[in-house]
Amino acid sequence: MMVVSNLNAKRGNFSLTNISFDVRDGSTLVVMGPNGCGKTTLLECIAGLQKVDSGTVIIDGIDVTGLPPEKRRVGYVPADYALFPHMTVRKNIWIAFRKSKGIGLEDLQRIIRLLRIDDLMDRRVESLSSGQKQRVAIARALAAGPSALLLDEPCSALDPPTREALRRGTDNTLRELFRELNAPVLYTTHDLLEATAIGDRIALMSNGKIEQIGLISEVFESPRSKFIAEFLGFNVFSGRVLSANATCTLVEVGGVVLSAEGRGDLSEDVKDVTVAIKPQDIALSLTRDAFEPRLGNCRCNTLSGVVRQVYTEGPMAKVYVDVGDLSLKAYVSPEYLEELGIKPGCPVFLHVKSSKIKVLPKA
Amino acid sequence: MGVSAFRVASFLCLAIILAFFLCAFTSPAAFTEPRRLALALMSDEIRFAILLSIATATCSTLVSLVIGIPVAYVLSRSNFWGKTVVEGFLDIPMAVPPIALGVMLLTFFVRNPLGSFINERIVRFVFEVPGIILAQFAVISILTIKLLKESFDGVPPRYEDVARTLGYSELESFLYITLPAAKRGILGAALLSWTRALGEFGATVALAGATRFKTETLSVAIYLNLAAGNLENVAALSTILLLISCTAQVAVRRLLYGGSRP
Repeated sequence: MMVVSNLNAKRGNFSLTNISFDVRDGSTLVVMGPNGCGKTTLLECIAGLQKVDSGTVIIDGIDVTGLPPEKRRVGYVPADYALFPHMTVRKNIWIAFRKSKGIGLEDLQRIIRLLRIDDLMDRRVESLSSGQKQRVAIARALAAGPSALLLDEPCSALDPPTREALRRGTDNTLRELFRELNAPVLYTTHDLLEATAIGDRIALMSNGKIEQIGLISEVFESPRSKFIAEFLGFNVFSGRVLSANATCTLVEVGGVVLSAEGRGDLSEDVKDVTVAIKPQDIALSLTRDAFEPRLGNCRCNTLSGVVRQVYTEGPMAKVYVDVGDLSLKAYVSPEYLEELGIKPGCPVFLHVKSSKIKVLPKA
Repeated sequence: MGVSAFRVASFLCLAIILAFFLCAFTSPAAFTEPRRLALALMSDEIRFAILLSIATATCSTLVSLVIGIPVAYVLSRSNFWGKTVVEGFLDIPMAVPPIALGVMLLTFFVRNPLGSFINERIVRFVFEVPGIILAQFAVISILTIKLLKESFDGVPPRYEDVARTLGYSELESFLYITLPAAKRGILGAALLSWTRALGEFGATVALAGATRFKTETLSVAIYLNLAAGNLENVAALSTILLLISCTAQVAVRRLLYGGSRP
């Protein structure tokens, strides 16, 4: 188990502030956040490559905060993989295995088989593709028999098709590998799909702080701040509470009144709020009465608007609809769009369940 | 697409520089003949000069590497207060003419109490063989450090970071990862330093003197023969010096690139 408590580290003008979390053995915590939010610095602090000003890092019950990197037994895969270029794949792995504790040749062979690098062992590093380099780098980190594994954006250097294949295919390979390792895994990424495929829990970072941490479904469904909602791709607006009771909160957003279920974490005197709506939770139709389920006293929100822009991205179509002063984006399937004949300039109705509208206190 | 005038001019400059050195290198050969070269090689004095040059250049290069590797590594990897001043200070010996450097060393060992003590009680440098090695070291060490630093700069520190997480100490990471990764650059630095030491004259003659069969390196032998007006011997010695340098260049390049690159 890895326990990080109140970690503070300064690096030039940037600092990690009060980072605390734990990762159980066999579980993966995905750390997400925009560029420069401190993901790499956090991993380097845990690996012992960066100086920590205060706080503790405990791995397997041992406080490793003051130990040099070589004594921590933390496997680290940097974003550029940093495979030793003057060695073959075999030597890259062997150099790690030489120092391993508690890992035998059979375990090493299993890792090599699982990562499908058996055929690459005599290749020189520079002749490998980015996907192969990634697998070798992970194998090397595991060959040292680490008590915890840190992976810094391991898919970022891959070309889009390999990345997509890994996201779909490797989630099993990597997950299987992490399970086999039965150690805490910390995995950083920018990619929401990758995070969903790999992680058990997620920590979202901004400006050197953890903004929210929890189960992936929990964080994706209930962002706790405007930053997180924006980062996760929600529609985010500033709004004003018109009325609120235990079952329903009415909020005015850009001239449009939305009803949200319950009152969430809002205290009674809060008036200025942030409203977040997940694009996947918006349904489109050509008629007003297509969706009208009742939720307590709150109705499903039905808004009329005009389609401004439509474009397809992977398996989803993104539809931007102007509703009053608001511009909402909705994700629907391209087949559905085609079926309804929705195009730019087309009047449509948007339906959002009250329970899917998040009303957050304004920061 | 046509070749630009700039590209043509660049190639012209390259041709001029190649022609210039080709003329310089081949002119002694034109002055001598194989028989004269063989005679020179059979001469005891010239054989002594060749062996002394090779031995002292090898010693000074080894000392430069032993001291230069940690210095270059610390300059490449560490940021410390006054680093710019230190780097500027280390550039000074490159700007000082070798003969002046030799005179400075001579003054140190003759006039300075510490220098006199070292010269009289520990190692005799003035007009002795160790003086040749020291003079060569003074001339080549900064060049060695600069070339080594470039090699270490080319090895990302990330490799050492990863090695540390794999269980290797700082020293082990350096020995097992950085040093082998910088191998080509280090061998290149050693070769360049060695050939520079082999041809060193100014500092050597100032500190170790020009005594036949004692401190007579190839460069000193050229000087002595030139002073005596023996131009045929000068040409033969210059050709020998050139051949040794060329052989060393080819050998090291083969070692570095395994014959795959020129």
